[in-house]
Parts: sequence; C-alpha cells; structure tokens
Amino acid sequence: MQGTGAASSDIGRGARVNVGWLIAGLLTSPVLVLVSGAVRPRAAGGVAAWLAGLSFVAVLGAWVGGVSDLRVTWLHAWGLPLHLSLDGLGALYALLTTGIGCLVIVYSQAYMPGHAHDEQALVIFYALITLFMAAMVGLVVSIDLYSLLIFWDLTAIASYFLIAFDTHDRRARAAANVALVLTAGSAVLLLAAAVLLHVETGTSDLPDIFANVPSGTTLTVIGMLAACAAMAKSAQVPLHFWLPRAMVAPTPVSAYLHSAAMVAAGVFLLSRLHPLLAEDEGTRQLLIWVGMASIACGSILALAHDEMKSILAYSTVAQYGYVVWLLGIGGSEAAPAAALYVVAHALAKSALFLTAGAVTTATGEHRLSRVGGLAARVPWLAAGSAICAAGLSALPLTVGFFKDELFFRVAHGEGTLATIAAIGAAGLTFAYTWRFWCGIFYGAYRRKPRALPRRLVAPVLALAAIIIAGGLRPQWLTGLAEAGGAVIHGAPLSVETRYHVDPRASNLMALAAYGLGIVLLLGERTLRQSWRLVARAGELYGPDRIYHAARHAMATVSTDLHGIEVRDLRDRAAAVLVPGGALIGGALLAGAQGALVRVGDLRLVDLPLAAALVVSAIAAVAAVRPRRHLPMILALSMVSYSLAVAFAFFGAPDVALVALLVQTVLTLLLLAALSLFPSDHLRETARAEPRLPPRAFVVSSLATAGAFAFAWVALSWPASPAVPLADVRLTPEAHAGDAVTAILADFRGLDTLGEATVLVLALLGIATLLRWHGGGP
Amino acid sequence: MTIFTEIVARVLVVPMFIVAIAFLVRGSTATGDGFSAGMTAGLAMLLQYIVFGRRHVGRRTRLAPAGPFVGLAGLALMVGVALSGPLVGAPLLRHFPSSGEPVARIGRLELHTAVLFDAGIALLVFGLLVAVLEIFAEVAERERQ
Repeated sequence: MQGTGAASSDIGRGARVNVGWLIAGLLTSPVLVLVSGAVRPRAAGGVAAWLAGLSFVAVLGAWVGGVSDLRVTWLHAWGLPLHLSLDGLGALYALLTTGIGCLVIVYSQAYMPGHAHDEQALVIFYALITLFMAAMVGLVVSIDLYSLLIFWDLTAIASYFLIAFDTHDRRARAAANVALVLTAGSAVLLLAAAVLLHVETGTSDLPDIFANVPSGTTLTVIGMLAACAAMAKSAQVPLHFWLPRAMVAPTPVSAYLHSAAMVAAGVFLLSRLHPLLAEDEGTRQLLIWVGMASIACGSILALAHDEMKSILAYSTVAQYGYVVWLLGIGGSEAAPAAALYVVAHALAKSALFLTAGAVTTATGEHRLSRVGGLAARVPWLAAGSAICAAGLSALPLTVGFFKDELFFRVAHGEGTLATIAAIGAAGLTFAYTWRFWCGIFYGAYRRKPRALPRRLVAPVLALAAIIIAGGLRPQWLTGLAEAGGAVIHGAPLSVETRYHVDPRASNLMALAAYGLGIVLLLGERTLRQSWRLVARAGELYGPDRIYHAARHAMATVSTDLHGIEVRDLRDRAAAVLVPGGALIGGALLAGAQGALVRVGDLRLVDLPLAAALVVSAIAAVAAVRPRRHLPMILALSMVSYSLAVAFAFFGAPDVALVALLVQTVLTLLLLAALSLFPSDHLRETARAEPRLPPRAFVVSSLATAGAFAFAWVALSWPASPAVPLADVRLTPEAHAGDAVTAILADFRGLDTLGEATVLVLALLGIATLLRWHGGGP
Repeated sequence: MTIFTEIVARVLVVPMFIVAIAFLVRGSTATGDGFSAGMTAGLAMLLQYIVFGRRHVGRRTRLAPAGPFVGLAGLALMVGVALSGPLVGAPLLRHFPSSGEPVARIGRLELHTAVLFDAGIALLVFGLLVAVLEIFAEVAERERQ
C-alpha cells in the first residue's frame, strides 16, 4: 500500500487486521518484559530486544501488506472517536521508532549492566523503553486529537522515568523534572488547542477537522498553542534547554529518546497538523523564525561545548530546527524534504550517540578534549561512525546527501537570503559533526582504550549500513518520505532523488557548505573563544536562567499560601469548607429561582423518613458535645446509620446498604487509628479547653448553610427528572433488574472505571503516608 | 478479646463471604452490587484483624499480603471488559450480549459482561480494603513496639 495518505487508508480498509491490534500488542510488551524479568531478571533484555524486533517486523508487515483503520466512537455522548491509522507519516515514524528502538535495546544489553544499581532496575529500564516504544507508535498512528494527547503524555512520562533512571543522582532527578515540566507541561497547551479545535469544528477527528478548518484569530491561537507544545517537545529555541540537561540519562536513552524518538514527536505533531497550521500565516512565520533561531543557536553551542553528549544534544536542537523551518515553509517540495530529514537525522544521530556511549565505556572519558586518536584502536567503530557523520553532514553516497539536497532546493526557491542562510546552516552542521568525529578518532593517541563488546559496535554498523544503502538506492527511503510528505502536504507528490554531476543550484550550495565547513573546522582553534563567549552569554541571560527564576518565585508563593492554609486544623477544614459552601450557595442563588428545586409538602408516608432525619440531626448535634474521642466517634457513626435508615425509607435500598457498610468499616478503622495514640495523650487533649476564635463561628455557619442547601436540593424532587428515569426505563434492556447496578456497571460504567482508578491512587497515598510516618525509609 | 468474640468471629467468616457472593450474583436483579460485595467480604477480614490480630491473620490465610494484587486484578478485569468493545469495533464499555439478545443463566447468575465488570469492582474494593487493613495493622504493630 505504498501510496498517498488518502488512498492508503482506502486500500487498507479491505484488510482484515486492524491497526488497534498492533498497538494493543505493543502496549502488552512492557508487561511481558516485567513478567520475564520477574521469572529471570537476566532474560528481560533479550525479551525486550526480541519484542522490539518483532514490533519492527509487524509495523513493516502492516505497512507493506496493508492494515485497516480502527475507528470507533467510544464516548457516544460526546461523539468522541478513537481513530488509529497507519498512513505514510505514521509508518515513517513507527518504522524509525521500532527499528532504532530494537538496535538501542541490543546496545543496552552490553551498556546498561555497568550503569544500573541492580538487576531489578535493569528490568524496569527495559520495561520503560518498550513502554516508550508503544507510546510513540501509538502517538504516530493517532488520527484523533484525544488519543494523540494521551500517547503524547505517555511518551513524556516514560521519558521522565528514563532520564531519572539513576535515582541516586540528584542531577538526574533535577533534569528529569525540567524535562517533565517543559514537555508534559506544554501538553496542557496542546490540550487547550485540541479543546478549542473540538469546540470550533464540532469533531475531534483530524480528517473532519481538515475539511472544515476554522479561520481568523481562532486559528492563529490554535496554531500558536500547538506550535509551542511541539517546540517544547522538539527542544526548539527558546524551550531547548531541557535537552542538554537530559543528557545525564543513560546513553541508550539519549540515543533513542533524545535523538530519534521523543524529540521527533514535536515535529511529528507539526507534520500531523500541517494542513491546519499551514492555513495560518502567523503560525508559519513563527515556525520559520524559531527554526532559524534553533539552527543558529544549536549549531554555535554544539561548536562551543566540550562534553560529547552535549555537542550531540545541541546538534539535535539545530537539526530539528531544519525540520521546523521546512514545515514553516510548507508546500509540495518542503513536505517530503521534512519527512526525509527526520529519517536521515534519526539514523545518523542515534548512531553518533551510541558511538559516544561506546567511547565513554572504552576510555571512561566524557569530554572531547580528553579523548582522541582512537581510530586505530577501534577501527570498526570509527568506520561506522564516520559513515554516520558523513550522513549527518550530507556527503554524497549517503542518505544524508538527499536530505540536504531537498533542503537546498526549498531554500533556493525562497530567495537569495534563504539560500545564503541555508549554506551557512549546512556549513555549521558539517563543522560540528566532523569536530565531534575528529576529536574522538583523529589526532594524537592518548591512552589505550578497553576492548569493546561486540554489541556496542554492531548497532552503529547496522545504522551505517542503512545510511549507505539509502545513499546508493535512495528510492527505498525516499518512497517512505514521499508517502509521509503526501500526508503532510495533503496531496500526492513525488520526489526526485538522483545524483546529478552538473553545476545546478543545489550542488553548488552543497559544495559551498562543505567549503565553509572545512574552513570552520580548520579555524576551530581561533574561533573557539568566540563560540564559548556566546555559550557563556546564553548561560547568564538565557531561557534556562529565566525558567529557574520563575520556578523559584512560584515555589515561594506556593509555600507562603500553604503556610497560611495549614496554620492549624481549623484553617485546613475552612480552606475546603468555605469555598465549597460559597460555591454551592452561589450556584443555588444564581440558578435556583424555582427552576431547580420544588418544595414538596410533607405527607403521612414521609413520616418515617422525617423521623430518621430528626434522629440523625440529634446525633450530629450530640457529636459536638463530648470531649472524649470514643463517644465522639460513636456519635458520628450514629449520624451515618440513621441516614442509612433515611435512605432506606427514601426508596434507595442500594444507597442505604452501601452507607451502612462504609460507615461500619470507617468506624472500626477510626477506632483502630485511635488505638495508635498513647492513652494519656488522648486524655490530655480531651481535657484541654478548646478556645474558638470568632471566625470559627462565621466559617461553620457558612459551611453549615452550604451543606444544608446542598442536601435540600439533592433530596428535593428535581424539576426535570429526565436522566434518572430514562436510566430506570432502560434497565431491562441492559439485562438487569436493579437500576443502580445497571447504572454503575453499564450506563455510567466509564465513571465507575474512573472512580476505581481514584481508589487505587488513594491506596497508594495511604500506603505512602502511613509507612512514611511509621518510620520507614 | 473474650472467647465468645473469637468464636463468633471465626464462625462468621464463611457466611459473610457467602453473603458477599450473593450480593454479587444477585446484584443485577436485586439490591446489592459489586461494591457491597467487596465491602462485605472486606468487613469479614476486618473482623479477623480486630479479633485475632495481624500475625494470626497472616498465619491463617495467604490473602493478607495479596491485597494490592487482588485490587489491581479487579481493576485489570474492569479495564479488560471496557476495552473488549473497541477491539471488536464496538464502543468502549459495550456489554455483551447486547440488549435484546438472550442471556444464558446459571441459576440466578446471568452470563453477561456487566456482571464481570461488577465482579471487577468487588475484587478491587475487597483487595484495596485488605491492603489498607494490612498497612494499618503493620503500622499499629510497629507503634506498639
């Protein structure tokens, strides 16, 4: 089903297997890794590698053989669809994610054992990597806004735990925090954009949205929000500073998440939403300028830094700047160029990261200035990474040549200024790529490295082989880029990739870029000071500083507010009850006017109900009186028991039963909690005279009035009983005799599921609080 | 604890679990549902904890440390039932057999996925309650030492 996006889903519809099974299978792989790790911790890595390889084969098979869309409306009330489809764009990213993921896991098997505290941590590492893979593939096949959002967040969460893999390292935890705030925090912007789009167009399915694009300011706001979220994820200036910090993560994580997969999610989002974003001039200008700024800043900082992984991180910032710039330009030339750029960059950059990790393993050094002359010692690694560096710096016979050729063609079409800028950008790329390679492998021989395990070298060679294959037979990868570009552009297109030995513009630009790169490389020593000056200025006044100042200020405000709130127990109760009472009172005053509540008259039948309520009122008043704790608890439970009786009379036996059971458990647990305190302490607090400040009376009367009004409304006959009665009427259709059970398990099952999740979270909270105060670690 | 409470507590276990299962099985046609079932079964365990203490409960049944897993199994069951719809192309949380189609029965138990979902709630509530009891008892034990 090689073809355009629109056509491919039509062809795919005939296929019997739907893409949901692929995602379901991927999502179970972390569970399989955990299970295998529980049985035999050493097996987890192998299982993860096999599962990743299997995923790659499955995605490839699904793309070549065709796979049908999954499209179901899962929330009928809001008409929310779950729409997954493996179109050209999704296939491109899914193949990258699973393929590079497989190689990275193979590499991890040799690399990680030296970097993990115990075998259990390794099992969790493999589970997280496979979870990330599943999330990323889920993200790229999502065609509706909300599944896109869910997978987007899942990638950020998996990335958080992977960056903070070394939990004992303070820097790792801090870096994970910054990355989470920026990448998951920006997901809120994406959520805002999604909700705006949904409200404006009435649908959350992207094909429907593209057919009915909103216009004017709304579109600008949506475009800016989505673009900001994507820029944070793709580490674009000025939100780029989380990426270099995230380099404290284990190298396989950097190679995978921070070059090929997670940072690619940002430009993926821009590609997926391109038909929408391209309609808005403001968003396009934003992308163009941000892309250019990222290329400039990333390239210069990559030249200024000395740590190997930092160089690669800044180069990633610059490389995604190219893609963002291309997506800002848009059109039938830039779209496939952006798609091919992502592929070529991911292959080359992850290989260079793996090289850096292997070099660190062999020499124990992290800095470029401390290594050198390794070419003769590790020839295979040197050759493999030389090919990858050639791919990144766009030398001929690699797939990288074509990524730059397409880029040059687009830039040439944009005028002289863009042409010069493009040459400058490509020259900088050439310079920092070869500075990295030469710094490691060329020059004076420093010291004898340790022998490298084969698994640290083989993945680099595999990636180098793909890069060469893509350079010799470009149609393999450009076919994919064509399909991806067609989805971005929204119309079929074709890309011409062939070597021409003639003085055409793109060839001349490439030659100029190589020349500039060589000049920069040769003059490295004299220029280094000025690059470092720029980096220093960025450290002093850059966005990193602003971020930390802002975070510090917010933390101060939050701490102060918290201090006021928890001064004593009464304040804490008031902090909940007063806003609650005020809100309910306000809602009743604003919305009541007779429409919401009808006061019925008291009939003889209601007498038992009234009696039960009177008993519970007496019990409630009685609960205030006693000083000692035990009678207080008993009086409080009396309130609930008499309320349960009231519910039974009110015609709600299910509610009465639940109230009875819950109160019994609660009373017994409260008594157990009481037994935890020393008895003389209890006696002392009971004897102490409580002194109430005057505001306590105001607060309690406000809260009481709110609670009373709320209970009054809830227990009155509602003016429009439509919903509950409809549920009761439909109960036999749901094969149930009891309306409450039918509502819980069927009509409102989703609510129940949500509440069940809350219960599990509550248990986690209880366990943490009790164990922590109990003197645990 | 007197010998009387100990005997009552021991004798009550099985009937309480039977009542819990009855709440679950009869839930779709009469008062009671998965939540009440889980609560009732949890109450039976609570009684054991109060009367015999944590050590004894741990010795008599393997259930005590398994609480969180039972709870998570319940949640997994619920999620599984919810997701079975989309996998066959129906909406989330569509129960089978659908309305109008006949339902097989074993006695009063209807073989309906809604009942399975309800059983998930029961397992979840029971498991979490046992987990809370276990944590509580553990902390209480430590405080007393």
